[in-house]
Amino acid sequence: MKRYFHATLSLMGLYLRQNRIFTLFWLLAPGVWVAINTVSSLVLFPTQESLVEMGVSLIDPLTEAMHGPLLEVSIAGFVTWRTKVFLVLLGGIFSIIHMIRHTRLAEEQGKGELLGANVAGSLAPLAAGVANMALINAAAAILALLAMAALGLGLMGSLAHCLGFLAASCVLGLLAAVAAQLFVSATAARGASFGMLGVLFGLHILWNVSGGENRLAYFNPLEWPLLIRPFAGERFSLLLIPLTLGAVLTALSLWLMARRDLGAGLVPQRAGPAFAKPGLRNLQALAWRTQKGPFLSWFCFYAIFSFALGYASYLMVSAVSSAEALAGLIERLGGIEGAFLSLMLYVLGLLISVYVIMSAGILGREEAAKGETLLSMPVRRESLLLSHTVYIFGGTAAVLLMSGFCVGLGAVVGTGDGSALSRLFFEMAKMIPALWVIGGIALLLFGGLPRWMTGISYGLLILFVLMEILWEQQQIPEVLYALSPFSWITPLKAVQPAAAPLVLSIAALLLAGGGVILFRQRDAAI
Amino acid sequence: MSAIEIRGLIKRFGKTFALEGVDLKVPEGSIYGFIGPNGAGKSTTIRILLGLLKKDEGEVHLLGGDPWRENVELHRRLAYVPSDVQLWDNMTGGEVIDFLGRLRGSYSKERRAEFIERFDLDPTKKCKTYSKGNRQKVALISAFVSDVELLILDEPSTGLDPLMEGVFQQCIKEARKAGKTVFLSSHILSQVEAVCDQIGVIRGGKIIKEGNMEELRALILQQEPPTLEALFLNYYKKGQREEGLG
Repeated sequence: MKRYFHATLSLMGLYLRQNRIFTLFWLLAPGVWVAINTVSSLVLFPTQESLVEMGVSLIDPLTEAMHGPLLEVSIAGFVTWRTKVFLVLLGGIFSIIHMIRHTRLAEEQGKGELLGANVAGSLAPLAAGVANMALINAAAAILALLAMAALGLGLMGSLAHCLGFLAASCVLGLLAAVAAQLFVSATAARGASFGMLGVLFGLHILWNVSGGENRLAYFNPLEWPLLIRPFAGERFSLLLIPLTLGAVLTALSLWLMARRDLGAGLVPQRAGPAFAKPGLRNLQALAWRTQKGPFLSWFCFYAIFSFALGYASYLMVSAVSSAEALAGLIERLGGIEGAFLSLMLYVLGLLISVYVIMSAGILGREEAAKGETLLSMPVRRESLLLSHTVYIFGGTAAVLLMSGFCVGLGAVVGTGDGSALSRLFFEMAKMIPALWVIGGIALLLFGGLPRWMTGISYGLLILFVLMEILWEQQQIPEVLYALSPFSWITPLKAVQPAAAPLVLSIAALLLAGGGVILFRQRDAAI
Repeated sequence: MSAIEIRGLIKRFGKTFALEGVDLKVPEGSIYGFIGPNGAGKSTTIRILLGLLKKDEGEVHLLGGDPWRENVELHRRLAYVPSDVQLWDNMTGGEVIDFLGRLRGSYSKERRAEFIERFDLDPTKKCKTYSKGNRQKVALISAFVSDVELLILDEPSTGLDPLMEGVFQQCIKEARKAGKTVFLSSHILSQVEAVCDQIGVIRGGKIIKEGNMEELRALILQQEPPTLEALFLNYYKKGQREEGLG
């Protein structure tokens, strides 16, 4: 045993000292999410009648596909129903990242070798990763349980809910532990784990849409929080399935690890092309290679999500129009006619700022890591910057335009109202210049303070959002709020200035131009 | 004619001096060994030569031009291998060699095949799976394949095994035979002694000794043991004593 597991406890301590912010989010997110949902449900549905009305009227096909049947019409039943899928996805994603990081990624980075050569058992790194994963998930579940109990949701049901998502998160993490043994690269192992989660999620949606009982559902972690029936006659015996499955997966991963060499896998690394395609000959082609992954992910995600939003929002509006508490809220947003959707679209558009900063971050990393190789080639510095600006500006515009088109299409399909398409499309399109300003700020920082670009960009983004909230509460004057690019496009103002697109575009151009000039004059950040 | 000529070069990072007046001359068609301890200013000098960093004071002539203002034109005529080569994870070694060759504009299929063979590189592997030595090989192949006048190499053979070290030394000797100039920054003094005909020693941001190998040979023979390494350590210690460190 000593040969295999020696120093597991020390390694657990070592892992816990790394990535503390990540662990903190992982610990707190489930509890916070349940608490937010509980409080907002208590506010929105003060009486049992309003809840019954919602419980019956809210079940449109899309919501049911996501969450499955509502088992119990009460605040507790409603909260567990609404939060379970997200909690499993959250815990599962955190567990997968954690497992891959401490197994395959550590081997890839040579940390595995360092530990393996030290006084540590051969299976200790994997065992420590698994033990920490289970412990952190358990602590997160306990915190969520405390939050639910403190808000008065009832102990037994809350316990079932928390055990449900705890079991699912752990089993998903253990699937990643097995995947980490099979693939040579961390990216492939992570991809396979997330792919598996995607398939399980797809099956979850499929079974919910088709309805009815399905025996296979007992083996899908995403179904366990429903099958354990919190607040609806809890079935704790269900936990035998995840316990058995978890034990089998743990044993399998350890067995595989014991039978392979350090750094080796069971699925061989695929060889790539020995020659580059003729098109790979300039910085634009290189930028496509480095930017296409994030761009296509955002593009596709926004296309699908926007269609679903456009399709479902009208169902939502018709559902909530009869709920008094919500009606009041919507009234404050300027009436039911489109205001609700406008606000949703506005938030959806603002979130694309994250893509803008991410794609600028790729440019930053490209200079930091490969700047010596690239900038010693016969290329102008501004060409390097411009090759990525295509994505920071053009990619952003493409995501917004696609999102606007899909929201409109969804709305047309949902309501049969043909005019929705162009209206919603232009509503998204007019946000483009504001996001370009965010891109301009990132580029200016790239030119002036390259090492601080990502941090300051995100900081300013948060500041702009805060300014929005403070302005809405009349805490800051109009003049100050005008400094935020979002103040020019917010739907919370009845009328937006006609010159907004022009002003914002010029501002973005000036900021980006300043970035180019500064970049040409500074030392390379290598 | 000098391929590289530097006079009174000063570079500051904030308040600290990285270079305090570097003077050096690299004759055309020679192999120039640029040696010195860690943090002496070797990489900083090279990065200024490449127009990656901006000089604060002094004169820098690279192939007769200004490396900061004429970087694009000059980079067409040189190839550079950094000391820590970082490549694109999702590209294969072969793709990187092709891409860099096309970007530089001078490149032939035959030479590519020849050097991949000589350095024994598998070009179908993704860069993230390459070891440090293999990443270094990709950059070296890309440099030797190109048809340029000047090779600037910053500790290029770290991570190479002794067999590949031999291939590398052979390649730079061939480059000299073809009339190319090689500027070689290195820690491996046996390598410098074996291939270089000019040597510059940098320490604390200043050149403390420059000369051709023939002149140094006499000094080396006075050392115990008679190696460049012993001479270098001697200079290094002398410098420390002067500054009251040793």
